[in-house]
Parts: sequence; C-alpha cells; structure tokens
Amino acid sequence: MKKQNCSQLLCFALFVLFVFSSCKNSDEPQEPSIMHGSAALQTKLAVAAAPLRPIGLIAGSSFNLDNSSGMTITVDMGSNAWYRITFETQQAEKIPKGEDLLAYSRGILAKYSEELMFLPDEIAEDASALHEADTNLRMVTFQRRFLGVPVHGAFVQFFYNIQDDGSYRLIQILNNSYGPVKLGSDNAPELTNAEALAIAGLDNYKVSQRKEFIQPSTTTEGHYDFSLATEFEFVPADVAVTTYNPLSYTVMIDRATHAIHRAFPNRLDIKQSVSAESYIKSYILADQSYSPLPYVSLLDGANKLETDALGQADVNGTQVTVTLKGSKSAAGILDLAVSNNAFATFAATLSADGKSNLTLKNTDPSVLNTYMAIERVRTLVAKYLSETELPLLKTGILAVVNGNDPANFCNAYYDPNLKNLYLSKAGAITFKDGTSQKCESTGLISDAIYHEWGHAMDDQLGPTNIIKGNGPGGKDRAYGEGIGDTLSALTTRTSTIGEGLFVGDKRPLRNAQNTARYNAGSINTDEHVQGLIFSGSFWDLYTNFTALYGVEKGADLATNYFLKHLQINESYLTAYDALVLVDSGNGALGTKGPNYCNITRAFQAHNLSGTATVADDCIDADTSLKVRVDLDSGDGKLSLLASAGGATKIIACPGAVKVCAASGMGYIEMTVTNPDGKLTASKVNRFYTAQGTFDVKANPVYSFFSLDAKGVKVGMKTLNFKAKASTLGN
Amino acid sequence: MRLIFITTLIVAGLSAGCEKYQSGFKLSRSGDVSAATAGQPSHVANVPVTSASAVEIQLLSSKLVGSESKYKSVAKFGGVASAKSILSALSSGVSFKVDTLPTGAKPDVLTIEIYDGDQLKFIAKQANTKLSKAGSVVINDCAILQVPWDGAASDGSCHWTIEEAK
Ligand SMILES: [Zn+2]
Repeated sequence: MKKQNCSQLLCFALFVLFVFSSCKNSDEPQEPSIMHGSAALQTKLAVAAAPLRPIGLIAGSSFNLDNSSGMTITVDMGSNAWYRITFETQQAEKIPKGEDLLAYSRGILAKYSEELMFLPDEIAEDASALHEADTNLRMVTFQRRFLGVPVHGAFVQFFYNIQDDGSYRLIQILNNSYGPVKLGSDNAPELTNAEALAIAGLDNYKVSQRKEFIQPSTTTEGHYDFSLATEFEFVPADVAVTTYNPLSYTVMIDRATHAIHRAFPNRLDIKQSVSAESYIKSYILADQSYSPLPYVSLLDGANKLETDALGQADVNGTQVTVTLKGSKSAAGILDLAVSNNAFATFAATLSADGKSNLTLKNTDPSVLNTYMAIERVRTLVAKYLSETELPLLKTGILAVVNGNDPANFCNAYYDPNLKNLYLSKAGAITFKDGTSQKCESTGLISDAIYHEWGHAMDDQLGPTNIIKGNGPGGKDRAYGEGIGDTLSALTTRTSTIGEGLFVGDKRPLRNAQNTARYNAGSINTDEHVQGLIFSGSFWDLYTNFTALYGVEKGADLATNYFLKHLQINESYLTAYDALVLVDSGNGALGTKGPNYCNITRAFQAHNLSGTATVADDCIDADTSLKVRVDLDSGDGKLSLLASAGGATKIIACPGAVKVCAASGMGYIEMTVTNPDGKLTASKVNRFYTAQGTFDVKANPVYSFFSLDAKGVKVGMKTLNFKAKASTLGN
Repeated sequence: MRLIFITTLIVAGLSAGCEKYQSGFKLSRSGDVSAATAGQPSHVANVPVTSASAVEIQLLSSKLVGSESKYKSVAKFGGVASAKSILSALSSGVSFKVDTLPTGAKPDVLTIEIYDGDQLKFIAKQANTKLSKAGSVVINDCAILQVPWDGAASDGSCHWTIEEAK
C-alpha cells in the first residue's frame, strides 16, 4: 500500500465540507428541526459523525520485526497504539486451510499485545466474531472491554484473504481499540432514569433500555480520556401518540459529569417504501405485480405507524406487524379464517434499504390481494370523484375474506345493508343439474372485487342515491351489474371479467367486448346478462376513445365520463343521453360535444342510443393530430410527418371532405413509424410517415383521418396550407 | 485504495451538480476560423476544414448564435456524410466547412444535423441544393427545426404555414 498524506477518512470529510460549502443554496430544504430535548441534547444531535482519530504513519521496518518488509503500519496518535497494519498478501504468513481463525486472531492479539496496547483478555468472547464478508474474505471482529465493561465503539479487526487452495493469509489488522484504558473516575454512581430524562430534557418520554459503557473521548491535546457512561434509549411515554411522529432517541450520558457524549434520533435516513403484491385481474392469470401498500397500520416495536398513500412510513426497525386497516384506509379486511372481529394482520420483514416488497405469501394471499384490489380501484376512482361526491372514498369499506357460508361459496357480493364486501373462501357450488364445480377463494379474483366495489359506489352516486335515503342499487339492477363489470374493465383495461372463478378454468365469467343488443321485446331476466348491454356499449366507447386519443388519454377520458354520467343517471336505458350530456360539458358546448360521434357509434351498436344514430360521415375531431414538414421540395411539394394520440393509421385526401377513398385523387396514407428518439419522441403521441408527397400548391386544403384498427374513422382534422408572403433563401 | 476511489467519485459527482464553474472563454464574432479554434475547449479533437476548395455552409439562425463551443454539425449530401465539424461564429448565425461532400454533381437534398455531444438537437433539410467547390450554401432559420419533434404542434416550412381549418 502506498503512503498517503492524509487518512482516508479525513480526506473524505474535507472534500465533502468543501463541496457543500461551495454550492450550498439557501433555497434548499433544510433538515427539519428537532423539537424535543435540552440544549445539550440538541447540540449533540446536530453532530452527525463520530470524531476523527488522529492517525500517523510509521514505517514497519522501524519495528525490527520478522518479515516486516511487507508491512505498512499506521499509528493512532491518540494512544500510540498500532492502528492499521497491512500486509502484502503474498508475503504474509500462510495459514492452513481449515484453521480456526478466531483462535488464530487471538494468537496474534497475544503476540502483538504490546503494540496493539491492550491485553488479550480485554475482548468479548463472541463466536459471531467471524464474518464471511465475501467469497474470498473473512473478518474477525473482537469488541473491546475493560474490567468487563464494553468500551464504546472499540474493537480490533482481522482481515483474512482466502487463497485459491483454501489457505488464508492475514492481510490487515484494524485496531480501533483506543489503547490503554485509564478511568478518571471509576466509582461514579449510576444514573437514575429520572436523572437521565432530566439531562436530556425529554418530557413525556421514558427509558426503554439502558446499558453501561466506558466512553472514550478525545482531549484537547489529542489523547484519549475514558469515563463511565450509560447509554439510554428514550421512547415516548405514551405509545398511542400518533398525531405526530414521535422519535425515540439514543443518548450516552457521562456518569460523573452528566455531560452528553453522543445522541442521535432513532430514525432511518430514508423512509420505508412498502409495496405489496396483488393480482391485477386474477390468480389464474398469474398477473401479480407490486404497487404501494397504502394506509395500513404498521407496528414497529412499540411504535404505531401508518403508511401513506405511497406506502411510505418512517419505520425504525425492519420487523413490523402489518394490519390491513389504517385510520385513512379505504378498506379494512376481516379474515374469517382467523377472526370475525379483528382486522387481518401479519408479520413482515422490511428491507434495510428502505424499499420493501411484500409478497402475497406474506399472509393468506386472498387477504392481502383483497386489500390491494380495493385500494387499486379506489385510487382510480379517487382521481375523478371527490370524497364529497363519493363518501365511500373516505369511509372505506369492510371486506370479509374467506367467507365460510356454504350457500355463498363461489361467490362475491356487496351487502348494501351491512355495507361490506363478502368474498367466499375456496369451496364448491352445485348446480341444478346436480353437477358441481370447485372454486378458488374469490379474494384471489381482483375483477370480482372491483365489480363488488362498483356496486358500493353505484349506491352512492346518482340523483336517487342511498345517501339521500333511497334504497340501495334498486333503480336498475342490470345497470348495476353493467356498472360493476365496466368499472372492472376500466380498472384493468381489459374487457374480460372473472377468469379463474372455477378452479383451473381460465375462461372469463363475462366479457364487456360483446355484441349484446337491447331488445325491448326480449329482455334477459338475469341482470348480469342484461348488464352486458351496457358494459358492451361502454367498452366500445372505451375502444373508440383509446383508438383516437391513445391508451392513456383514452382510458382517462372514458373513466372520467363513466363516473360523471353515473352522477346524473339511474338506468342503463338513459346512459347514452347522460354521456352525451357529460360530453357536451353539461350543455356548455351545445347539444353535441367533441366525442358525440364516437359515443353514439358505440351505443348505437348495442341499440342503446335511442333515436340517435350516426352514419359514417359523423367523425369527431382529432385534436391530437398534428403535422410537420419533413422536406419542402419546392413548388408546394411537401413530405409530411404526422403525430396523433392513438390512430392505427392516418389517411389524407385533398379538400374539406368526409369521404376519403384509397382510389380517390391525391389520397395519401400515413403509416406508424416508431419514434427513434432523435427525430421524433413522445410519451403520449404516435408518429406517422406519409407514403406519398402532398401537393399543397394544387390542394391548399387537406383532410386527415385517424383510423382505428378496423379502419373506422374515429377522428379527423382539416388543415389549410398557406404560402408565406416572403420566401427567404431556397 | 478502494475507499479513496469511491470518495473521489462522490466528490466529482457533487461538484458536477453545483454547476458553479463556467468556462471563461468568449468567442469573437469575426467568423474567422482561427478565432473559433482558439475558443474550443482542449478536449475537442476535431480540426477545422481549411482546404481552399471546401464548401462553407452558413446557418443563419439566431438560435445558434453563441453555440460554437457547444454544438457540432454534420452535413449529408449525395449519400455522403461529413465528419462532425466545429462551428464558427457569424454575425447572425454560425458556419462550418466541409470538403468531403460531392461537389458539382446534380442537385440533391442537403441535410444538416446539429449535435450537442452525441445528441441531435436540430435538423435542416434543403431540397434542390447544389454544392460547388469553395462555394457556400445558406440555410435560413425557418428550415432549422428542433428535434426530436414531440407532436405537440404542427410545423410548416420556409414557404408554407399550416393552419387548422375552423
Ligand atoms: Zn354484481
């Protein structure tokens, strides 16, 4: 190892100080001030780092040792003890494979006791001292003690490299043991807990733990002093306090002088971000993914915490108890397999790096999945409706998982009287013909949970909602079923609902992508089947919107319209009119809003648009459609690029037209090109390249049409090309 | 040694985040190649084209004024691309010289790409362009388009504007 001018630690500290002082910006957020404790505690809390050791370098050869040529030794100037001894790996003594490294290390300690400046028996006997740091590195760490009392932060460490043949070589000794201990006052009386709390100035705190130490400190001359001190853990006296985030503190207090040696708040620098696994649709599709675990209670030792909307909490430890109910939670889970009156709870180990992913296997998967599914659909709906509009968002809902009523196996339901969701445990259902089917726990089928939550939501929306004293869901039961299926489809962005209800059966229970038509003369009396007429209409609307605006914006608009129309409508037979009204800005845009054609076309296909019908020439505006001249070849000949939200293809025809046939004069097709990030790049738009040249001198007006995957015109835009008055250069 | 290395990296990272340091040089606006060369940071390996027969390409764009130390340009013509060239200052834009493109040939599309490091920042395409030895080509501001295009708005050309019909 090369000689260094300053110790590594010192170099690091200086650089960091320099950097921070040179670019500290007063606008940066400041560390939150700590509100508790005496001035002495505050001062020590402000010191984040341990004091530095004064280190000097001494050439190994000056020690006149055997095989010393390969050694580099630095000395702790505070004690004159050897601080770090490094050995050239290949010159160090070869230690046979299988050697007891603890015993070997103790042997070295005895051999160099004088240089390391403490006696071999001044170490704690600890079998865990051996650490397999890496595949080829072993470390032995002995904690330093004096008269049986641990010297705080004092240890000696041995580093062994494992050679290819399994033998070891000692490569480094780090002696962080502070040299000979001499206690200034070895009979200072022990502190009482009350004294310690008074010194720290912590009101409403209590001592949870205490431990005696010998505390080294550095004198102004750079030597070490030692004194008896006690380390206290202070925790809030009232553990139920949750209105603020109570900190616990670790404080080392000198027994003789009552000075605070060191203090720090017991809080990780980083928040814990807790995510949990759940099925987007169903266990049978194995479509599980992680998302934040919001608003659950976490018990961290005596500390009661709650995760926030992002699943974050200031957790001290890594062992926590999760309860699937928090004060802000929109869901509370009762696992009937465990208890019918206590919220579901499970133990979890959080990751020390602050990012924890809890798997479905952390507990009964149907229990965690139900919580997460409720949160997923609630989070979606909360983007569009306020808590005033939909109190369910705030009050939450109780979900009973592993329901054990044999009459309701293979079922999930919303109980409007108890206002809870019921998810059956795994069981079987027997049909009228005597055949039976086995079912999984419905808590594993997220689609079912979204659907049932949709019923609870439906009850609270609309002019005759349950909050106004009206009966539950009763206005139109088929509409209610269609609403539940549509909400599920919008949540998962898939049309299928309920895969996996029957064990091993991946077929969906229902599908919103359908051709069900309303026929007044032939109404299916099963409300679930009848509900397909509405869900089918709305899924077509969703498809039209995503084809025009792209998936993100289209799904956003469809979900918004779905929830808005539920606030003004009570029957699926009038849903179309309500949607047209919503689209028109409640009439602000006239009788027809910007999406009139696409809404009408969707509902018309299911015979739900009443007397309104649209023909092929009803085409909504595509506001997302834009073009850019890629090359102006002169004389009005332009190569164009286009951009739009979701069109599968764009076609263009000269003039302000509604018909644009491939056989027509001047017809140009524009096909999707992948944004290369250089010429085109967007998170929301697609790009298209023209397969022909536009002649804007001959045709100063072009109509552009956005087509969906079936070639239906879902949007259009007419553009005027105007010659500039003055033409520079080319 | 390992710790030292990590330390250095952290310090370098923090320093970069500060952005207090500004390069001290200012370029003259004379448009003379040697002045621009003097202004180049030492790590720029490219040397200006000095061949007497080189074609000068002028980019008359206020958005490129003062960008000589930042951007480099590539010209493409007749299926040939020039090396990345450094820019010289003009009173109302920048210019650069290329001597590897076919001259005297039939007119073609001249494509200019302006890079910040490896990142393409602007593109200009000019149709029906002819290059001649020791000649110069002028590209106007209206032809110099920022890239990548995000599709948020329509963009016309030097001769045509695009308007949405009411
Ligand atoms: Zn239902």
